[in-house]
Amino acid sequence: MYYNSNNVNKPPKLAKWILNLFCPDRWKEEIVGDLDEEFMLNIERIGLSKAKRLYLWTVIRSFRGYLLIEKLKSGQNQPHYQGGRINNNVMFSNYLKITLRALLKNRVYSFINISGLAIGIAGALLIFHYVSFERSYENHIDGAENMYRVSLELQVNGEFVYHSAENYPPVAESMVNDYPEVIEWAHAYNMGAKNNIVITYEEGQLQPIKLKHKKFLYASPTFLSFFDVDMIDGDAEKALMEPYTMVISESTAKKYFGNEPAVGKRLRLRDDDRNNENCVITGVFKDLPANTHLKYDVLISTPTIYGRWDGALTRYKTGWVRKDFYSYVKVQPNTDIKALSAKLPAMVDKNMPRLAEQNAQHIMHLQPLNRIHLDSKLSDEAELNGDSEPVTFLSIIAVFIIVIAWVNYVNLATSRSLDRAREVGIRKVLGSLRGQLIRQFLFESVVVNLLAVVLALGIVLLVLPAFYQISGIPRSVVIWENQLIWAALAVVFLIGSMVSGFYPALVLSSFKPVSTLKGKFRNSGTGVFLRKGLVVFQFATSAALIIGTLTVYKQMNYMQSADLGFDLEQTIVVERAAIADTTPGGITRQINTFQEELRANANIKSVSTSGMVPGKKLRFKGDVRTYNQISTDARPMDLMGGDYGLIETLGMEIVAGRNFSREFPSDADTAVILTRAGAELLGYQNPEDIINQTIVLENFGQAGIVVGVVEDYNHESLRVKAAPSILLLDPQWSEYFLIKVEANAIPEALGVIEEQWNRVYAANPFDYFFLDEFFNNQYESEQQFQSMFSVFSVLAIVIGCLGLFGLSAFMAMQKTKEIGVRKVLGASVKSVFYMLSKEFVILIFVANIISWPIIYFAMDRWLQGFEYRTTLDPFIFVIALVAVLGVAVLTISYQTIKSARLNPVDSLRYE
Amino acid sequence: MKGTYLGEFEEVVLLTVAMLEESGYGISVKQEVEKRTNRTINLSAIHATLYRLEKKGFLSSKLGEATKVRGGKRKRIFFITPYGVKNLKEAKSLREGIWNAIPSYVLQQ
Repeated sequence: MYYNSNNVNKPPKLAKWILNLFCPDRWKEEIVGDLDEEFMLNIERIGLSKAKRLYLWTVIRSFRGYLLIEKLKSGQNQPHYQGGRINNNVMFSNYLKITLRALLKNRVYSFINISGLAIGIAGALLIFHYVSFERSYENHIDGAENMYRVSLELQVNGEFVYHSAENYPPVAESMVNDYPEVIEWAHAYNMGAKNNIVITYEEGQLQPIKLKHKKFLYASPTFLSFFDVDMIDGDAEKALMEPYTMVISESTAKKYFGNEPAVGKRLRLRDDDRNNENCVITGVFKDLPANTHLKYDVLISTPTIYGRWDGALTRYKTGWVRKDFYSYVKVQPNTDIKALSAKLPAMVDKNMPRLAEQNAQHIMHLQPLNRIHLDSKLSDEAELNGDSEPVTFLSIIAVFIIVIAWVNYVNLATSRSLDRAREVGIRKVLGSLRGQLIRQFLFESVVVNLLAVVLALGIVLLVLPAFYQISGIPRSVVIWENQLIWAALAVVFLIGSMVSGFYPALVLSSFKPVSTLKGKFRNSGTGVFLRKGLVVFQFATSAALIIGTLTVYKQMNYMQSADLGFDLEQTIVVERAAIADTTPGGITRQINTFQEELRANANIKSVSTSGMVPGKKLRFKGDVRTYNQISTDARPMDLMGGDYGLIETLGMEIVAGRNFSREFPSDADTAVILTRAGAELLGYQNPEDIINQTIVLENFGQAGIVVGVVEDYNHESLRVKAAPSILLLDPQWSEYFLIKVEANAIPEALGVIEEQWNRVYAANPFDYFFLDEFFNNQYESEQQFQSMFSVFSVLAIVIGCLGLFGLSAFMAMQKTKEIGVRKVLGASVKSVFYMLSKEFVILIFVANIISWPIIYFAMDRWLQGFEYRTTLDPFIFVIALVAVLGVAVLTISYQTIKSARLNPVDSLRYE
Repeated sequence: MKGTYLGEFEEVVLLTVAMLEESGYGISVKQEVEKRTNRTINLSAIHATLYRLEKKGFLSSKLGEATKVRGGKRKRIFFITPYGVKNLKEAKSLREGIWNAIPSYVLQQ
């Protein structure tokens, strides 16, 4: 094979660049020649990519002393004068000396400058880490950019009903069959979210290991290879092909089998649908990274469930009846997704011809896999997703923080120009060129930025534990392993050195030697204008951040103290048992036995079974109408089951009619309770009117009599509107036990509950959670946003104040003489203070006026994301103004009062 | 300068250059050494050794012809210098001396 410059088989550019850096010219030709020759040989021997890697490796290995020494020597031999160009390297030691002297001479300025920059860089780095983590979802999956989840939006009579992350089981597969651009598919049923599962390892165990599993999916045979799952043991292509096969994560394998190999062993799966299957483990995969939207540690092959009962194959594989599978497809690169989406209605029509009769529309959406975490907020999501808006807001804050820090540098450096003017004058007189002076001041800024970067790394190290806490990023995501962080650091350093150094360098180098040496130097008009502009910018940012922080606080406060229609306090929730008595009536018997003793206990106020738990999406939805409406008028409502005690236990408010009651024996068969929104959906504005009406549950072929209406309640977070729902009296529909306990008796109550649980449900591990905590978990992303937002806002404000402090100190110093004269002429300290702070006060007002509309717009947009939201309070804007004013005046006053109180004799003698 | 000391790898490379006569350069030396020692060697190790040997005066070099296979870059051909030959011989006789001094029963083990 001949070397050809047009050949695609080129050695890596990076390697060549590195080689150029340290390889002396004397040897460059032959070394590169040898490397290229070997590279060509290697391509044939070990393939292009390996050859490239080896090339780079060889270059790195070539990084040896003899080459470097040679290189340095060759550098030294260059004459200092090359065609009139001055060798600047010689000056560097002088620059360094001057820089260090200047830094040490004004320790306060240096401290403010460097620490301000460092805090800014550290803050920006942390935010950047957060943002890059949030944006890194699914990055580990090969080809994720061509993968989509097919979501399902339901409409009835053109009205939006429901948009689910789940879809019909055959959707993904039929897309592969129908459309050539769709090349792979996978689907999964979120078993862990829908059922209670206990898995036991019993073979040869005296004490079987039993564990409850939440991250559990039924996965199609295509699943492992589709998601590019990292297998430790077993074949990704075949592991999920057979019925009764199971693939588990490394850590799950460790829990059951310790260090023994898992493949080939059997685990027994039992769930609350009475499935009881012994599955063989056919594979073990590496634990999933934290940044994936679909988390699982147990996968069971879908063929396992096809044979569970007659019709299971239709239910789980071929039928367009139940919509509860996450469906994923992979398309060919560069596929036109819009064109593909446009074909989907035809697929729906083909497979669901009856939709039109029902006035219903199904719309399938293709969601890019790597946008699911940040952009998707559908029903039935596998986990509570992140939010792109806070990520954007935080990115903006990061930029502001760093810009404020740079602004400080520019402000301080230019305002100190008086100090440096004389030095510049002398240098010029001695023959310095302007370019050299610019270089000198840029060099100074490089040094300051370098020190700041080092300090910033120290700060990051120090606050890292706290950062992990408030950001919610798992600790396993190590910041130092994030290559983007290092890239960002490099970029911040380079841009910072240039941007923050450039303006002061220009200003300082432009001084005319004669006037500076004569001491007639004055700040130029544009310089003052720029400095004022920058100060306004800082104040504006601070004000905006204060307003933003307070608004986020207000909204969080609003959500957490809002009347949900529930009383969540002091309530313990126990999920129903996965393994129950399967004899006739056994389940009911167990439920009753479990509750009896609890009811008798003095520490327990009330107990109820429940088909739902606030904070978790309801699983069932059905079309509901009143008896005298026609079936096309049926409206979708959330359905849930509960016991007689449910309304009392949850503290719901009855607005019309009555609660379920044992005093009405007919209740057991027919009674239903609606929410106010539910009654309104059926056309009853006044809840009283719907009492004793008969309603029909279309999909279930069931009817009920409305005995009561309860106030709307927010079953889910306040981000979404309270859904119209219907409560059916069905004690056996008990997915949860809700247990309200006396205050201060939680430990005692828990003891009783656990004891009773172990007695009644011996085969099930005992597990519980507190309802209020569970509910508030929904606000996790808001809470993180709140803490991040406030911490970094404070940071930005602190940096701004640091700069202000330096600036005001300088201005006061500049005016020492003027203050002296004024005092001699009889001015009071008060009037001097007024004179000095007047300018800042004006700037602050200007800044606030600029920032208000911008932040108003931004926060308004954020609030729009909540169905229940607080208002943007004008009072907050005033608070921000006063706060900025206060902080600024305090900062300034320290300096001004100091100089104002100086004895004029001293200040006038100065100079 | 490291003096006349000749390391094991240096000796192998020096011998190989001597063996290759007019055709010893980076790649050919590497391939030959790899073939004979039956191990994988990084090209950079060969380069470093060749230049070190040159610095010690054991090798001299000149630039050869440019060839197409190298993208038009010339190769540096290495020769063994008389001083290199002398040192090789010394190294060999040093070893032979020691070999001869080993009692024969030790070698029979």
